[in-house]
Amino acid sequence: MSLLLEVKNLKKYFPVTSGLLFRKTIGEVRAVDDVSFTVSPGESLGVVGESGSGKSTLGRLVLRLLMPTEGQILFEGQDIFSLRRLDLTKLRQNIQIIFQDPYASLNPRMTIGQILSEPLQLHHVLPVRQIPERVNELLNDVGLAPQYANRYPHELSGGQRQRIGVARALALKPKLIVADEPVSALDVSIQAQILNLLQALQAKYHLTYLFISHDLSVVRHITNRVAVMHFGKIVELEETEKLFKNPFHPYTKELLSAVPLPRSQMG
Amino acid sequence: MIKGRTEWHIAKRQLRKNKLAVFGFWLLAVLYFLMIFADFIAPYDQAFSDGEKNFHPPVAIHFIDAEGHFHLTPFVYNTIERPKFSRHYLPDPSHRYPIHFFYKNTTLVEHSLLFLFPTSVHLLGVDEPARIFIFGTDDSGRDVFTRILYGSRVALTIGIIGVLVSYALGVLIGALSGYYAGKPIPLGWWKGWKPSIDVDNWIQRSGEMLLMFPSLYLLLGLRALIPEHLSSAKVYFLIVILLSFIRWPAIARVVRAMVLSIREREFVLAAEAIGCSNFRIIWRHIVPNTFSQIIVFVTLSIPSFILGEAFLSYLDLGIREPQASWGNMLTQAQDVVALTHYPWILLPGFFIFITVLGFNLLGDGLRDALDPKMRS
Amino acid sequence: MIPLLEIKNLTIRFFTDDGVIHAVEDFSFSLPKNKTLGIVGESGSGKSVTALSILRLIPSPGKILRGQILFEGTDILTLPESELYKIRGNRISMIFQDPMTSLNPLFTVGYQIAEAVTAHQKVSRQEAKSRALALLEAVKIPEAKKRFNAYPHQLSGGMRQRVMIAMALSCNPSLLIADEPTTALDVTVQKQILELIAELQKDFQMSVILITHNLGIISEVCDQVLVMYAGRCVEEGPVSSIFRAPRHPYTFGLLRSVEKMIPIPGQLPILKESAVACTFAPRCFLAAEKCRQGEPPLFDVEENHQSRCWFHDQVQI
Repeated sequence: MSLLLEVKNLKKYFPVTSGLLFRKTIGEVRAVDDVSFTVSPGESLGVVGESGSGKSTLGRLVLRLLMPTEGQILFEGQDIFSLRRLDLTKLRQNIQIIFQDPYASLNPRMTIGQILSEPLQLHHVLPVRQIPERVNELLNDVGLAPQYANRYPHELSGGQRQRIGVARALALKPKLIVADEPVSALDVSIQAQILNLLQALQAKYHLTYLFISHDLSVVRHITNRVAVMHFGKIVELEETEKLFKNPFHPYTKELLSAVPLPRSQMG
Repeated sequence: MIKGRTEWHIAKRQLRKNKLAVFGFWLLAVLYFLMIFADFIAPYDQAFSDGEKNFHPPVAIHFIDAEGHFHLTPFVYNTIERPKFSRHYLPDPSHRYPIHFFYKNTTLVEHSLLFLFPTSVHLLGVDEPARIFIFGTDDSGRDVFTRILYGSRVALTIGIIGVLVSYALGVLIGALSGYYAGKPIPLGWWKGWKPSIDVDNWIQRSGEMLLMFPSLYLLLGLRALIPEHLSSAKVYFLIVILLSFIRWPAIARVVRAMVLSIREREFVLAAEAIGCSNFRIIWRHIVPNTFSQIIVFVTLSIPSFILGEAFLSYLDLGIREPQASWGNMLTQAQDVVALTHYPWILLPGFFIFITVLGFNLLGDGLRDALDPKMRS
Repeated sequence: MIPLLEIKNLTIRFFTDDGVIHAVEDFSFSLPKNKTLGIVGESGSGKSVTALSILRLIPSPGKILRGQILFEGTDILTLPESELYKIRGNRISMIFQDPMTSLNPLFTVGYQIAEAVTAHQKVSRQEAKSRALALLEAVKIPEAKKRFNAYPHQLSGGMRQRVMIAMALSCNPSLLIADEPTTALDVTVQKQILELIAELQKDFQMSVILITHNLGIISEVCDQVLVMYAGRCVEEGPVSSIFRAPRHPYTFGLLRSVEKMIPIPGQLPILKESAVACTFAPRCFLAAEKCRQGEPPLFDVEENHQSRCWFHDQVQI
């Protein structure tokens, strides 16, 4: 079985400068510090860590929204950082992202229909007259009525906006979706809805997920394997259930103990 | 299909609640109405002058005649200059000249109503030799009211065109500057050296060089470059360009600041993730999000164009005779003696005042209406 | 024993251009001294509005239509402004969700805490400073002396929240209201902050109202839980009782969504008129004809445990 994504010794360092007139680099922030892992098609890999652990930076690197300091990322065998423009466009069709903040990730001046049509228009994957139909299809996939196409983001609730974020990621029929804390900004009851949606969509469209979160409990139900990140390094990478039952690294144990669960007799 | 409610609808509702802004709006609406129908509303045309009635005060309109009879139609008396050449006018009650509405005045040049059909009909008129100088006349015997109406064409359009040109320039330049701030565009690679253009730096520094010049002197200096003999229309056109050219650095700076903050918002990153080109991101995502703030600046900048033109015309460097402009009408008001005896020649200044007031009130109202924090 | 805080029949409406929103409807509860109450609900359930109303901080166009808010016997809603100022920050304190916007970025955190002290107590600047330092230590900020002179942007989210708590405690309030204090924080920090609140509650002998959408964190801090839905109380009871045997289908659904990621279908309604049926019925797995005919009253199901459901005894564990 060929690998969909291969990350090899990836490093991203941000320089820290000081001084107003003459900027000197006095150090660096090692956001991602020699990270390696692979993702197989159809699987769901969770990346868990606190704020500052580098997980979001990792997500953006996979999407080529950032360039690395060192290291490689291979998508379907191709090095994504050395791609030329035409191939880069193809890459964008294959890897998509769902952002954390449903309020900031949608352009407030565009209608939902416009937001969802945009990727379709950019990549010319469909003749123009078929686009509205596809938009309706996407809305349906995420559980929203077709009327929403004419609404503006500020008229929707947080959960609904996040569904649009999911729909937008689906529009180009990508192979890999990076979900960057997709439910952290939502109420717990809505979190469950969105996670269920993501699971259903994965089955329907044979998607592969890279699921980034700071909350282990969220990741438990939706991933096959989990990578725990701490200060830019992966400290543990294990199958989800094994990790939860028998955490190895002390940091993983700390993360697990922090998950708030109501004391109840329900499983 | 449910229609979405945009920011505009909410803002419009908010705006209606602001009484001052509504007042400003209607004030401007009246002025623009007068401007569009100037040919019709004005009893005379711009060049018309009655040589025997220089500096004539506003003509008195009566309903009751010398014998105490009431007439339904208002009327005027003809006036005679007595003593001669004194500019002192006495009414002659011997003959009543009723004011005709929709008066056909064939002595004047034909005008076309709304550029559609030519006609000689004016809103008001009186038979010869009486005159209906509602606001009096200037030193050449020209009707001030008429010239104010014609002058409004200059004032009210120069503001709009001027902001359109200067903001189109300023937004474009400012958006480029802000988007590429801190991100020089690489130009390839040559012998181990990677040259790049720091677009932002270049734009901002050249803008600052322009801003170094005191605006008034810059304006005069640029004006001096315009050849003397050009027609009034061409002069008008070039003045607009001039005024716009001076404004772009200030606008570009403001737009740049807005773009800098919008650029960091997540939906811009999302646009990049779906494969938008830089150009598309700037044009379709970032710039539209600046509109609500820009429109406020636009409305509040219009007065400065109006005043700029008035200033140039006042110095006889702008619109020239016989074309009327509020600025050049005020040149005559320089003479303090004239001003004391014939105060009505200041009326163009009053009109500048209320125009600027209208735009300011409307602009303030727009700003408050579009500010999400001030919503009720 | 007079309860510390007693809310009776509180009704709050928002008069917007789009219609009148019934944010809180006939809401009542009482909080004894030294006890913690958790108010749980989704966004839009009215929980934050209720909290703000205790300090009369409701933004327009919201208005308190009816009801009483009795703090130590006095109705806050009828107090004149001058008396209200003596209560805010002094005897009742509040902390909010986003510590970054609650702190002034231009002043050091030490200065802001000292300011909270001097707002209500006449003490010298030195005295205020030392009290502020003591408070920073009480909220367990590492290297408190150094952090005293730090600016908000130099601190992490968790530390900023600790500073907020220090400010809230500056005048030894009898009641602390925490409105989603950990929602913006990572789980590890969340745990620390909740433990801190629980500890401080004992040390400072206060009552605490913790508002959240996450039923999971209630057990860390609270004795009593109140579940809000569409502006009404739908269940109230002791923490152990609620978790062991929830008596309202909504509470049941909330527990399931936290533990097993099983969602509650549908969305919280925004009510624009008085309810004529059970507000939760459209999303409820127990809903029957009776539910659509009239709004259920609060039934007493156990000691100190109430539920607003016709079928409260059929909610399975």
